[in-house]
Amino acid sequence: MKLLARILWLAIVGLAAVYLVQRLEGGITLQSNILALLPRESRDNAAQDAQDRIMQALSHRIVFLVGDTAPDRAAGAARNFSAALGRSGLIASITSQADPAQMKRMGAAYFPYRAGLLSEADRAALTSGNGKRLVDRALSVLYGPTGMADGKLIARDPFLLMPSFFLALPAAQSRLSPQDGLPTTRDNGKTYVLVSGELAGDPYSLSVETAMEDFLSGETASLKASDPNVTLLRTGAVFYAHDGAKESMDESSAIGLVSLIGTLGLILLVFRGVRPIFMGLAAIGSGIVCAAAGTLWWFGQMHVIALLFGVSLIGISVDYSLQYFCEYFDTDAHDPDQRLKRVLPGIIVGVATTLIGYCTLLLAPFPGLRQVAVFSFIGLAATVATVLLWYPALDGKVAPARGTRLVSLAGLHWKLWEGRASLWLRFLLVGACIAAAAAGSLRFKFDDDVRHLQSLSSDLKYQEHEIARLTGATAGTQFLLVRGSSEQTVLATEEIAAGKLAQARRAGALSGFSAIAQYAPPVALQKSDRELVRSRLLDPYLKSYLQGIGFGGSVDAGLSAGYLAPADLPKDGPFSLLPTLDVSSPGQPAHIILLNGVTNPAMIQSLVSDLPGVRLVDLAEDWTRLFGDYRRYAIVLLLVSAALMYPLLAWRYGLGRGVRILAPSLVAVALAPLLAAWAGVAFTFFNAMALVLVLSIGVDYAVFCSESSGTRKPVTALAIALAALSTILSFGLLAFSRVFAVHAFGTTMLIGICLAFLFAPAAGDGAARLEREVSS
Amino acid sequence: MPIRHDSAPRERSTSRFLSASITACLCASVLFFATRTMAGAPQSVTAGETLRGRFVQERSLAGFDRPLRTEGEFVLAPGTGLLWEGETPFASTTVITAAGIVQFAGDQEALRLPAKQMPGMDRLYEVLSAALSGDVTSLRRAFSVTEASQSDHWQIALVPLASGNASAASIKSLTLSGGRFVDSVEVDRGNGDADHITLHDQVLSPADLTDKEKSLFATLPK
Repeated sequence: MKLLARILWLAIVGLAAVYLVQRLEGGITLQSNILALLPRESRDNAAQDAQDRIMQALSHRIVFLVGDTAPDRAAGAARNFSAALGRSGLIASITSQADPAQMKRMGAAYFPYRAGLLSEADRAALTSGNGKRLVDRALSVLYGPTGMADGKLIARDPFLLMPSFFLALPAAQSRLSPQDGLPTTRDNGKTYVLVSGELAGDPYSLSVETAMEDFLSGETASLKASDPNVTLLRTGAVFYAHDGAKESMDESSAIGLVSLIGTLGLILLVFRGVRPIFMGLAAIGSGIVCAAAGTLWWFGQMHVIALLFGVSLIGISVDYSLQYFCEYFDTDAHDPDQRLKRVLPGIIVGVATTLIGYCTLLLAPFPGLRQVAVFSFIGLAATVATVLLWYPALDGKVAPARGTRLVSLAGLHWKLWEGRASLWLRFLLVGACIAAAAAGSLRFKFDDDVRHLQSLSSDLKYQEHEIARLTGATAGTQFLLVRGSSEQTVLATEEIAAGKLAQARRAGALSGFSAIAQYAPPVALQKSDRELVRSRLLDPYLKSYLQGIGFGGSVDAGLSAGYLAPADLPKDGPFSLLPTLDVSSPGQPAHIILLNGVTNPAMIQSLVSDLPGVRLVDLAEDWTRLFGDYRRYAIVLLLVSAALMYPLLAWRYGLGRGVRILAPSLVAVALAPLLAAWAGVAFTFFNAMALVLVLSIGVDYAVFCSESSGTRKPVTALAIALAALSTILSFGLLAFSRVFAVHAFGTTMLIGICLAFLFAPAAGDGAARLEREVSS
Repeated sequence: MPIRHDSAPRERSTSRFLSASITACLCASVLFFATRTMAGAPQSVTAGETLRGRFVQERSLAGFDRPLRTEGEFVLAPGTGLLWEGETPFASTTVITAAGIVQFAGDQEALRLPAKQMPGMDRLYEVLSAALSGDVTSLRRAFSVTEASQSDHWQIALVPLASGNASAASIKSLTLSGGRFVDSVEVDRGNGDADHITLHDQVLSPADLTDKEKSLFATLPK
């Protein structure tokens, strides 16, 4: 029976290993977008959909500036780079080449509707009855030295309204101007050429990121080889994602390695034999293999964060092995079966409470954390299965080792919580903790700001800033979502909003914005503009104007044409952003006004608040609010977790003892954030999630202590000391991560585990025995 | 169907307008060029000097009963720019510098084209500075250049190369002629459109821009 179970388990682990190898060979998709960890906001589906689409579109954009002191070399390098980018297959479309036909397409799109397309200044002139100004302008252009009007233009647009409209388009205001067909800008004696495009793959896929990075390092080298002065600035979500992923990957491999070597070293040092190492490796290995295979099977892909936290699982999974190994020091346990028998109840109850902790993680609607939970759940269960099924078989029938010095040293920890002799020390310890916590409570603060979550590379930030400065375009995460019953309603609302935004820009609340209505005015406005042109310009001035210049041909100013709709506009060049801004879904017309360089969101909010169907979306702000909500959610999870563990503990140990087993962990959970605050760490959602684990692991320690009595106590004390050490070696090392979320998680784990370990023997039977002694 | 037949002018007018400054730059650069490098006793205008004179500009445009004729004064200040002040049939001033073009109808600003909005403007100023320094090699990158001179008279014909910005301005050719200074500029735009500019009463003096001229140039901050 036992043999059958062993073989069955071996087969399962083997299958998992085969599956894992197969997946790894197929190339697994590692997700690195930290926001994929976030839940879906469910309050407003259309708004969420619009956000997703704009974020999706913006995250695919990549922008390069190729710079050189010599304009020719900058242009040459940009052409070469652009061509290489095209060949690489990484880019779906490149917009570096300013197509000469582009301007013609733009003219062809607008020209039929010229009579209703007025620049703001021309509209103001006509509205205020100042049509004469437009006549004078046309005359000075006609007679001026530049010669930019001819008979054919005069016949169609006698007062040159169309050129005026073009010059007022936001695209014409860009800091970039075409030079030899390339969008170029000059700064400080250097010429920069813009090369931008749409990424073909998912910017948050590690393979896409790596391919891009490899391509760029090769391309930069070859550009530099032919021209040492050339510089390449870049920005785009893919670079930030790669930076974050690289950081996480580097850390997870470094931390994983240190954690594994440290844990195995600890085993070697304490148990002085290679057999425990192989057994430990077998347990940890089976856990990791099953966890990775299970997670990949369940989710289809894996998030970098899940991998990072998953690797640290080594530190917990070894706890159960340590329980077993410490029985070598138990003089009453003579053979492997006896050893297992003695630790079995503790391991069962311990793993049950820990799994309850992970199950609550599963309750959190965070896709990334669900992966962490599934990974950890499978990993722990598999490790324990290996310990229970295979350890007695793997373990030789060796005589118990004599580790008396270590055991008695660890026993001191237990003695601290037993007997009257150390009563004052207990009070001192608890008092010191409370004092430190009180000091920490003064510095305690919550921090939900999403901008702190991703530790952006300062070099990439610098490059983004430079590109924003040189091109005048920034990719903000703030925009207005404009909705209405029809496209024209949306455009009309947008037009009003654009007016208010122009006002806000003059007041310095933002640096600019992009809206579809700027390129395709609402039909209502085109109608009223056409009427203005007819009644205030053509009717009073056309005849005398034509006579004055001696134009004898017939004039068609386009008064009888239809009206321009956004669909008439070209999709390339200055218009390439427009399709992105249209986030309509069937029956739900919706546009986005992209805001740049917002410095005063409150002012924009108050300006647009009375416009129906307009909503200011501040993604960073929304995420920050969301993190606040979920930080509170995590604290509730923590309480739920404790409440779910209690019935199990009460069933095995009784109502009172159940509370005493929970108590050390609860104290650790309460004190850890305050002690962390004392060290200057703010409380985030990730700290709260770490507390869920502190509770689970802490209860494990308390259970082991509670299951122990008599001479086994020092042995158990050694086991939990080793367990705490190994946990600190894994999770605690995360405290040194440069990824903010991981750092927050690690710091809380480090402090929480130390406290839980310190207080764990208080859950032992020490007090109960004292009571018995006193009563008898 | 009033619009159906005119897709060509539609496109042409757009590109033509958006590259409007090019002609002006060409004229300016050519003035510099001619005064600087031609045989037949060319008088060079260098930074620190000012060339003043009068112009008669006759513009022939297809569809018009008569040429559009303007007379006035011009001021050419190397390193600063060109002022083109029409007096008849009405007062209008055009200021051209490296930073762009501003036109005034009377005292009212009528049109402003910053260089950064104008495709190729920068490039043409490179041509201009090349011309100033007598760098024919640079000029030949944008034009095919034919020179002819006999005793005290010279002529130079510039035809834009297909790849250059000048070709986008739909200019077929530029022909300049003169003696000590440039006296005549012909701009052929094709389709029967042409500018004929004659310059006279040119005076070369040390830079002494009047306050009014200085303030006009100042309307185009760099």
